[in-house]
Amino acid sequence: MKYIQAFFVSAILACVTYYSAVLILIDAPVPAEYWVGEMITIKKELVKKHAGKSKIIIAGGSSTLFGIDAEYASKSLDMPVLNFGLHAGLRLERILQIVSSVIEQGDVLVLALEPPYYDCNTQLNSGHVTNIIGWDHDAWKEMNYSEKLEFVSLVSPTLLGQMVVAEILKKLHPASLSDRLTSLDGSLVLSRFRARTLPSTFEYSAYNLNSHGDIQRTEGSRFKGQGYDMGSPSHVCDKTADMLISFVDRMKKKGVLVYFANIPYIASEVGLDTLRSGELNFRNEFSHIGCIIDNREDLIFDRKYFFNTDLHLNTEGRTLRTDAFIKAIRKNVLSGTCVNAH
Amino acid sequence: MFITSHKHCMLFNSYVFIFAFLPVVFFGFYAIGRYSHNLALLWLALASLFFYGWWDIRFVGLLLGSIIFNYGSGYLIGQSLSKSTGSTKWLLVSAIVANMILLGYFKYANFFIENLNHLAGTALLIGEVFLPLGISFFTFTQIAFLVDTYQGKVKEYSFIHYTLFVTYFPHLIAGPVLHHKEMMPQFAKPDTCLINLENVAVGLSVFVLGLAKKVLIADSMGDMATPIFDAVSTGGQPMLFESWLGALAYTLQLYFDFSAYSDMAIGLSLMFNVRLPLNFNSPYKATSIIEFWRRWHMTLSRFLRDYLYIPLGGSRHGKGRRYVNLMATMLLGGLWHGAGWTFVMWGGLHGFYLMINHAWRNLKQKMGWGDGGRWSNLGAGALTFLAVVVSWVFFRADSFSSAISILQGMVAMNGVSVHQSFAKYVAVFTQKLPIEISLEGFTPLSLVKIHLGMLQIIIGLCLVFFFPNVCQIVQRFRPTLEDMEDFVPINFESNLPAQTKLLRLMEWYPTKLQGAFYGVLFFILLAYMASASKSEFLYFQF
Repeated sequence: MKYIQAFFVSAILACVTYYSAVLILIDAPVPAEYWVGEMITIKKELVKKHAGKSKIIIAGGSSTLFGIDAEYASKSLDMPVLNFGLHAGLRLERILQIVSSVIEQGDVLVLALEPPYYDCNTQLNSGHVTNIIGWDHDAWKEMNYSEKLEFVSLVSPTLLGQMVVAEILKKLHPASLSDRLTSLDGSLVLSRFRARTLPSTFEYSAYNLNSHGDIQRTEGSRFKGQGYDMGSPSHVCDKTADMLISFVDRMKKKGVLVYFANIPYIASEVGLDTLRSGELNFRNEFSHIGCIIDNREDLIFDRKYFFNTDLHLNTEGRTLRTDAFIKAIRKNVLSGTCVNAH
Repeated sequence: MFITSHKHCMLFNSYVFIFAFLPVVFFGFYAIGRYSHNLALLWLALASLFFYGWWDIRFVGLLLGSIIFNYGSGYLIGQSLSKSTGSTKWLLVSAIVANMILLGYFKYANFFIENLNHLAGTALLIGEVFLPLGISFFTFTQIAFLVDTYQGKVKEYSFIHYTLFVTYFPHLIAGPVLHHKEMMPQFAKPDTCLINLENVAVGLSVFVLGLAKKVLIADSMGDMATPIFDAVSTGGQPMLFESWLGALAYTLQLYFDFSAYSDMAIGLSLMFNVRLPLNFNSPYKATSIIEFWRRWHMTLSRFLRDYLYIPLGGSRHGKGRRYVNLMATMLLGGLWHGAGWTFVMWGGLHGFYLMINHAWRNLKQKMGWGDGGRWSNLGAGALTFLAVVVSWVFFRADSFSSAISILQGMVAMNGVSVHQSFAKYVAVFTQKLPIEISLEGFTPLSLVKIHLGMLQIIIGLCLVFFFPNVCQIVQRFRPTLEDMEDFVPINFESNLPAQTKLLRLMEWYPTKLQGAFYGVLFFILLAYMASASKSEFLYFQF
């Protein structure tokens, strides 16, 4: 029947056309979190400024970005501390890749990872795909063929539409995409950062950072929702554990000491027993990966210390959390008592 | 709580189903059908068992046990009936009780124990009870078979046909609830196992349209409704816009999800030359709750009417008794959907709505009032839709308190939150209205994107109210069984002129152009499926 023939022939043609278009437009400047890309460029540069000096880098997702005052920690510890908190929307392997590209022998790296990073779900999601197409072109280049195949299959028709529109605008009216296009030029980003004026109110912007990589203007408390379960994470996925073990090994060979830290939690009615049993289980599983420098119990904060999400502390909360961080660094890192079991 | 896990279920919207299971079963069926009709049906029955076993092989035994037990019971009832032994009724009652015990254990045991513990202060435990997929559907289908047998309506006792009737994969997990008498003649027809390209083309197109409803609409509505209901379940207090967004998104999600499953089942079945009954007939276009129930989950409504409401006495013993029967039927219908008081409340609400609706009809009849004009129908439709939305809040919420919290939010009792750009109007409104207004954005609890959400809901509502349903689009090719007594046809004449035009424009014909259109649509849906997380159908949990 002609209908059925037309059905299958058109489906196959659509398939070929679709994936050809995806490959052609793979670096189209689609709407994405360009500020994260700019922030990575800036933070790499901030670390490079302290090249040759022994320093502490605290890396992770946005809970680190909002939760650590590296400038204050630098003064207290009398050594350079840099906030390499990025964005929880970045995959763990990407965070590790980026941070390992700037870290040097003699440095201390503290990874404060959000609970989902310890889960088994390490697949790319739509946010990752959009960011890789928009600005994280290195991630695409570093993929092998099977990863590229998986990546291309994750491009939704909506995203392909955005890719087509972005590519047309880039050709015909680049001024309309100037923010996106300039964010891809590293030297331009750095010169803009050097000449920046901090915004008067909070903005998700790479130009809202101080020279230690801390985000600014996080006064007040806007978050109303529920926080992470304090018993979580209680388990490390094998795949994640393998990735972290291999990373810690590589860093060790490079002369870098890697430690791990918890994230802040919102105080809730969950009893301390639940928290302790979750943490104990986690620590037991984690013992062959590395050393955790702090306790969750010390990182439970009242809701008033959270800014706009359950992972983001405000200015006051950040000071409290940084005090706890400094204490943990002195006790477990600088004293050399927190030895990596691995 | 009962435990459900559908992680490994072979969903109609999965690649393994579309590219492996379906082609193998389809070509196998017609290849075998060329040589043996019965072997082809056996192939289909075995494939259906494989489809069920893909989820959890352990429960294939349960399904087969249930089939053998009910087939045997039906056979004995039939024999007893023909010999007039007098034990027929006891056989029927025993078989139904056995079915109810099975369903009761798997679906309601924990619910019963929880409530007993609560009332008696005991601490009884029966451990985790795993809810077998589709148990409510295959149990009800077989109870209907037993009753039909008792009533002398069953003429055929082929075990292969019976097994296929129960396990037939398009309907096994989430319906439609089938009648023995409407399926057996189709299985017995000699040309069922011979390929019919017109049926394949229509079936394929209906399947694609169902898939589109699921992938393009239902899942995106779920992405909006879920974070809102989840936030409320953890103690959040939703405000005006967020409450409405959650309630409307779920109302649309449930309709597009469940009717999509039914459309896909109808389409798949048609590809095997078997017509299933219509299960949804644009229910949100109903202008009364009575009409709503003639359009929503029609095969379940038919079951509840024939095997519960009528045996309870129906309307035969006066108005008062009729209302009691209506309420009892709807309460049990609610409980059928899930072991929880929110489902009972949902059923009770609909029972109440039906009582009011029947009382209003009686009053209208008594007073000699007419049906009113277009505006009156519009008002009746809006009221019906609103009543249904309110009831879905109970259906979706995890507890009474969550449902009440959302309903309070819908009438602004939890306050109103707007975007900061509305700051200048806030003072004016707070002076005039006794409502607390804050500037934390429209969706402070769930952080759902309000503009996108509103747009999606408007599109969803337009599709619901102004567009033809899938079966109307292909109605010339009779995709469903049309001998249902309560079928309410929405034909060209009953539509507004604009809707009629739209229906004509969208009407399905087996042309090359339409083939190309549906082919491209099919690919786009596959591409969306790859880029989104796998999403199960809501009715799998019932």
